[in-house]
Amino acid sequence: MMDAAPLLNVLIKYWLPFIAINVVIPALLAPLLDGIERRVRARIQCRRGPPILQTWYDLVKLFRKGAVTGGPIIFRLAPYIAFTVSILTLSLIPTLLNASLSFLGDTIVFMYLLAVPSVIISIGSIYTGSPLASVGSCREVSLWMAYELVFALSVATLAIDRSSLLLRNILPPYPPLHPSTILAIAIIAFLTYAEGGRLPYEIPEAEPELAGGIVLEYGGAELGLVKYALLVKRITLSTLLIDLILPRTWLTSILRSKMWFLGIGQVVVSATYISLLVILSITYSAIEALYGRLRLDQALSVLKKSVIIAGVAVLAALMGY
Amino acid sequence: MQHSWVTNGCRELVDLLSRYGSVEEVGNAYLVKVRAEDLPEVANELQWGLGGYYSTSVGADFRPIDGTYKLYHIFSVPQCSRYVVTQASLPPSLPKAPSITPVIPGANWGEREVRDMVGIEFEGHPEPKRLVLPHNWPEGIHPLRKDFPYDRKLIIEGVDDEVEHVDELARKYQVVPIGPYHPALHEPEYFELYVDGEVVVEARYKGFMVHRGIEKVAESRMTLNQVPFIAERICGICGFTHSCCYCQAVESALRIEVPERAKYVRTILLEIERIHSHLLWMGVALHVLGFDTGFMAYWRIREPVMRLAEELTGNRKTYGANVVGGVRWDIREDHVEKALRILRRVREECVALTEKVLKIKEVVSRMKGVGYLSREDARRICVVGPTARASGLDIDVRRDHPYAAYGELDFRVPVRDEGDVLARFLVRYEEVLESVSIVEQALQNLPKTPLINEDYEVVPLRIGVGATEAPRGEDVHLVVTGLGNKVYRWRPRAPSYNNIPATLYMLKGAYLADAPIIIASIDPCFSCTDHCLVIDVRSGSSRFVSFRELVRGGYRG
Amino acid sequence: MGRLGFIKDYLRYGVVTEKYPYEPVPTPETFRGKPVIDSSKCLGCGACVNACPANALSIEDDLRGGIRWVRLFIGRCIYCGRCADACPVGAIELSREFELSALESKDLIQEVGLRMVKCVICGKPFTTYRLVREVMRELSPDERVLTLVCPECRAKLTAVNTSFARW
Repeated sequence: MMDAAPLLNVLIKYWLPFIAINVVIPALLAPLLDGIERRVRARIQCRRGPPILQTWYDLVKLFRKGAVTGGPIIFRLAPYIAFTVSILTLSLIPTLLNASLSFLGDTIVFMYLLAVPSVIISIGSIYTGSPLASVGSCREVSLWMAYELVFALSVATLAIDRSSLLLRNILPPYPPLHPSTILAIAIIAFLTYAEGGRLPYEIPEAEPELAGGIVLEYGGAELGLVKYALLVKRITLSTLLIDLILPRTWLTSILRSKMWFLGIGQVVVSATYISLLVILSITYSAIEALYGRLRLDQALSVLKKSVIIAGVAVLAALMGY
Repeated sequence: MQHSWVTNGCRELVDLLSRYGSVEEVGNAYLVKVRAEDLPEVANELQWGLGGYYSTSVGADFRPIDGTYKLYHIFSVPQCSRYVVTQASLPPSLPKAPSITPVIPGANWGEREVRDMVGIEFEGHPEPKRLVLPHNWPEGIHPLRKDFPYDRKLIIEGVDDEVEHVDELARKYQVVPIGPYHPALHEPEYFELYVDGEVVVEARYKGFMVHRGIEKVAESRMTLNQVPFIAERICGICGFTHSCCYCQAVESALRIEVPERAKYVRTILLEIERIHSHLLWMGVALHVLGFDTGFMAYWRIREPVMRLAEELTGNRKTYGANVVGGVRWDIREDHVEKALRILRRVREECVALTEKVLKIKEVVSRMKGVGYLSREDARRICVVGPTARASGLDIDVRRDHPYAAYGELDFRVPVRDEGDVLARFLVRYEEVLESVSIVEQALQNLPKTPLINEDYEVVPLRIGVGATEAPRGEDVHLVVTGLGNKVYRWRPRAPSYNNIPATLYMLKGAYLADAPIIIASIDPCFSCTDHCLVIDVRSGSSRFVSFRELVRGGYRG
Repeated sequence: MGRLGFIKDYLRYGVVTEKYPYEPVPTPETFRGKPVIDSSKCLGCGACVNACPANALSIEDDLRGGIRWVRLFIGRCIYCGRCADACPVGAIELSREFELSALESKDLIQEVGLRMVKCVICGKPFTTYRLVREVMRELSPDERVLTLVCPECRAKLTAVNTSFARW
């Protein structure tokens, strides 16, 4: 268990590079990953697709319009809150660097912050009174409750298995590797796909059904922020999955001992992280291209089954498997 | 449905009709002049007694000719391959007729449009509301009357904005608007859904937002041979079937023999249109279900068909091929080879793709059991086309009232009885395969005759009915030839006109998420449906502004 | 599984879309594009104007200057080709051009100006030289003079001629 005081000293000394590398760079990468996903999907559909920077161009176009959305104050503030919180969440998890803000219970805080963007946007949308936005909002809330339950059970499995609520301790390497851990990671892999709003789970926005549903009433910079917040959420989820599989600390130390460069270990791990992000994006996009959209009741029934599986995982962890 | 007298068919039909008035054979139709009071009884006999199918109603202002209004009801009697047109003459002092809607619910829209456009009142109509004209249009002004000018803009003074009718439904349930602008719809129309959670409790429809004044323009300033070109532009997908239907109506009225080769060319182009329309629809249905990859795939398969049409006729969609009496473009030998090759490939790819799509569970599960329309409801609302055939009604104009070259070609009419969106999907899929087969047969048997028969006389005030099986169903045109090579009355009734009311039945009790696919499943063509005139209504002083002023930008409004 | 078949399709067909407008798109030889009037052939007879369903073609006679203007406004054209069907000398033909946007509507107008013939009796311009020359070809020498008489004067002449017995 690390002592709080030296950790705080380190953080204060290195806070700027930490934020720049571990938070800002992934945030800048998020739209690029979306660009990759759009291009892969387009190719599978036998068309060229937009350039990879397209999502950046779209966001810049929206930001240049300035704040144009009117309406109730919660509705207007929601994009800012969502965006800020989504960026904050990145600081709790190792991205490029193995470092992250670490304190007792940070796992729970992480899950909490991860959920805030969706919740705050749902609340804001209901305040508009627009019927399509309201329906989208209700759908988002239903789905979110289902996701969070499954997520909580899976993370609980890992926490029980490692007897710790510190995110650092839940991450690999896993000596010994229990079946409950594998099951939990598999469920989280499914969640990172679905919670990113990918087909067949792209339900609250559902353009052909709800004309954009939950984001319908936003325009200009607010719309840009909402979209950006959701993109950062996606990269956070992908990062979580990668972190659960990639044994960072072990790799870094092995490389450091075999090579004389003090920093090479970290650089290689960072490069591996980015490559895995890209591979994950390509895979997710290829999967998404092959699916249609589920109806809410159908999606919830799938998630109900996932709850049962996650429950099994928790029981297994409790029993020591 | 009674088929017991198929062999004596026409004899018994004529006898039945003669009881009500004089019967005249006009091409493929019987024109029977009845008294207005007998209309409900005649309608009942034709639809329920004989098992015929009501098509549409037409009103016409004949006051300059014989001082009356005329009301036509058109019925299809497949058993003897004849249409029946009942004609009632109404005095201008009292243009009233008993409504046939209580007998045939499907006549609801037809009669309301006649009332809006010509001003004939229907007694006993269960829903005597405006259909086509906006709610604040003044009373007594009916656009299709002959004293209403087509080239002036009507300014109406002192009218209020749309009044919201808040009834108990809106108070109890959440209203979800689909339209007038909505990604699920390709044209503006308005479906008002009353939802309870995610379930639709009631649906209302308001359309006719893309009226363009086609009937009025054609009747006012077009010659007989110019109308096919405006008919072609009624729809953005199925234009050729409208121009064929019009030409057939005129050819029927003036007893023009169309050369054999022209009939075959028409058949080929009609079926090519059906293929591309159905492939387009299948793609769009998948898009609405969220499966864009399938959407792109169907349109990839469809593209060679569009290019084939472009090579055969000069344009991907507006073929411009029809004139009264024949066709303008020929199909050359080298084109025959190319077309056969392209169609073979389309068939292979369509089969392969549809097999893949039908294995995708979330797509099929959102079509199966969704948007159910029972056979009885389908019959009462008088739906047509694949929507009808998917609910067990075995009707197809190509087989029941053979036109062009269909009488000589071999094809199957797919019918299913599940009545859901999946059934409609499968009916259209099977029709694509049948269409490919029809085109192949036609291409391989093109007769060598001239293309146009210009040897006819234009006799004024002759009535004719043309009917084709458009991709969306039965398309019916009524034409009354006019004085001096013009058209006196032209009523194109597109199939979606009869199909859209069915969506309101299908939407009740459905999930909100299924609303777009249900609406899309009848393959609605709102441009086809709304082809009459809407004139802007503004508040301000009332005056007429001439069209020239508008064109030159003189009117600043 | 049915789904993976789509990936197989991509591997088989590759990218099927074209880079238009960054590369040109070919049109078939039968393509119906913008009509072009050949001003050296046009007679000014107006057959195309009668045939046009969209009123894109019009004729305006400038009686003071003695010029008949045949005008084609592409903004109303529907590319049906009836004008080409109707023209007796093939002066109007549909090209294969379809990229027709212009920044000013006057760029969408094709005009042919034809010198008009004055009636030898009343002096009013009533037809074009070209049309008269074309018509004269079919007529015998003594009939030709009548082509230089406008319809109103011709009607008066015919009335005069028929009310007196011929020699």
